[in-house]
Amino acid sequence: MKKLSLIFLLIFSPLFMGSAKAENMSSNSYYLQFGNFNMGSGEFDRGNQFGLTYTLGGTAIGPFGEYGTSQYFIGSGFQYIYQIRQFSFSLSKLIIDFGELTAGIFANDNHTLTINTGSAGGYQIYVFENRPLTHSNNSSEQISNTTCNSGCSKSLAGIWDNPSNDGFGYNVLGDNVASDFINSSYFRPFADNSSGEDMEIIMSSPDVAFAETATITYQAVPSVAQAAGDYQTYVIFVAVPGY
Amino acid sequence: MIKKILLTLLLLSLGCLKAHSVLAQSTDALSINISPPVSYLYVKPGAGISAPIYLENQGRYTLRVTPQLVDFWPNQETGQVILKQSSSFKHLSIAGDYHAWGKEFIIRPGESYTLPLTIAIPADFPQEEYYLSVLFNVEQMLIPDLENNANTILSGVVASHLIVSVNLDGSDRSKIIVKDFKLPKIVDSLMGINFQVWAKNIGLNAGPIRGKLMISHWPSPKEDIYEFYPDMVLAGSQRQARGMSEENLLNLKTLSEQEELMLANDQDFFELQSKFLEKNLLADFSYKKAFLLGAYDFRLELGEEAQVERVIALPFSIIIIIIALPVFYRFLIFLIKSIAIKK
Repeated sequence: MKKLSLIFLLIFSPLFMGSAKAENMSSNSYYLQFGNFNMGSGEFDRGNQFGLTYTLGGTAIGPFGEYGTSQYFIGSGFQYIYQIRQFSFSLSKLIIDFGELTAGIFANDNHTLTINTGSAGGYQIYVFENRPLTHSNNSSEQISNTTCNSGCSKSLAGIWDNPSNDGFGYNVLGDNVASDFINSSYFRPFADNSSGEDMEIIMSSPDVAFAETATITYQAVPSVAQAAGDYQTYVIFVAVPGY
Repeated sequence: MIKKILLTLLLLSLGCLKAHSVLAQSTDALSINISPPVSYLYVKPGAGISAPIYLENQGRYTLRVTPQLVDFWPNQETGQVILKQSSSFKHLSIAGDYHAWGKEFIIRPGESYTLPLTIAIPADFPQEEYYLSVLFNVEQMLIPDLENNANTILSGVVASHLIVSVNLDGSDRSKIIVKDFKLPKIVDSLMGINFQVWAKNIGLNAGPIRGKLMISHWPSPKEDIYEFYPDMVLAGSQRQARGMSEENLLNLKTLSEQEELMLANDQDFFELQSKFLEKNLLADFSYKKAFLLGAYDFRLELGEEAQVERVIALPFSIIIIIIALPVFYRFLIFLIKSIAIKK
């Protein structure tokens, strides 16, 4: 019987270690139980700055009530969607490679973006660049943000199919994308963070999203006067859940 | 017998270990899961609370993640948020360290990380609701050569919102009222009755929309019923109420009861449920029948309020056609006669 207990202990010891680790909030393996979050209590303010006691576990009454209770579902059928509480965001690739840019010839590249809101709340996706496309060896040499064939702005796409109009811009097609991207010929310039411009919404929905996808196409063409070579920028997508 | 038990226990323990260590992987370069996307928290002045945020790297590359704290405003319509550039809230820290904002951490593919956020409120702090967003700037760790050769480097920022109510007794002080109930007074019998409801929270903390709308038409006292979805309305804020018909709620229940069976058959239950919600969870309601006639009473119950509005449906389009037909007939005869005289 002693042997059996020892073998039992050996088999399950990794499990016990795992659960001890889960108590540590800074551990990578900690798994959060959603809804009400009770872990214990203790003295938090060691410097006694506020004279406070650290009490853990005060999740307020959310849209679905506290986890495991049903006070908000009497007479309602929405409890069937309350447990999905994860928001995910994906980009199919992280590097856009136009190669060496040449005047008069469009360079294009694209990737997809996917969003899952989990619960019934919505989302917004914004985009901005940290600066215009800048020559990798000469920061004063920049490809300006596109003005399209006959005008477009960071919030209103326009047709851009004439490569003699130099610039850098993007098109978005897919689920719940901004309505000014009528087709693949419509482009916008990026909001430029270095000029203090606000990021722009490219996708949004007030409703639940399951694997909503959009394709982002980048287009760049330098002017004749611009030096050939590699131009670089950073583009940042911001995924914001609704409440 | 003992051997059998041991073998079973060994298999069970290995199964458990595997479940702990493996996360679902995506083929995307960057794929990040965040939970909870929104936390509703209350804390007493002079007390503290933990609000951990869990991140999972499901992408192909090791990610460098930098947390940042900003405030947000509700947009007053749909539950979407307007992010601000910075935060004036000084009492949210990372594991008690207020200087840890902006310090990066690494998440390898298939691994997860929990950001141990803590809120510590001074005893004399104003009792209000505070709207905070933790922004996670997520970028791939690139080797310098690759970084130098790329034209455009992409990164993502994912937000998780914290709605913090500071109040002394932890009680729910939300109060949801009807802000606006938009519906027509008179409609055509062949058209539907479109209506919208706006809820406002005049209380001190966020609270869910609770209530329903009943349509009655003689002789039926409950012609149709819509249940409002428990969307949160922030303190002093408003939003359009969403809801679902009772019939669709029953369909949602039936669908949810089949979850285990669908998952066992490799069917994507969550996709089906999301599509169902996208189609049937409405903010712009429309009551439609083949032919509406007479008085329709719309009884709106929201929070502790109730109000009744009456809509009259009359066959205007049919009356117009009946009036127009003889006129059209006379015009047609006149036209034929004119042509005959000319000939």
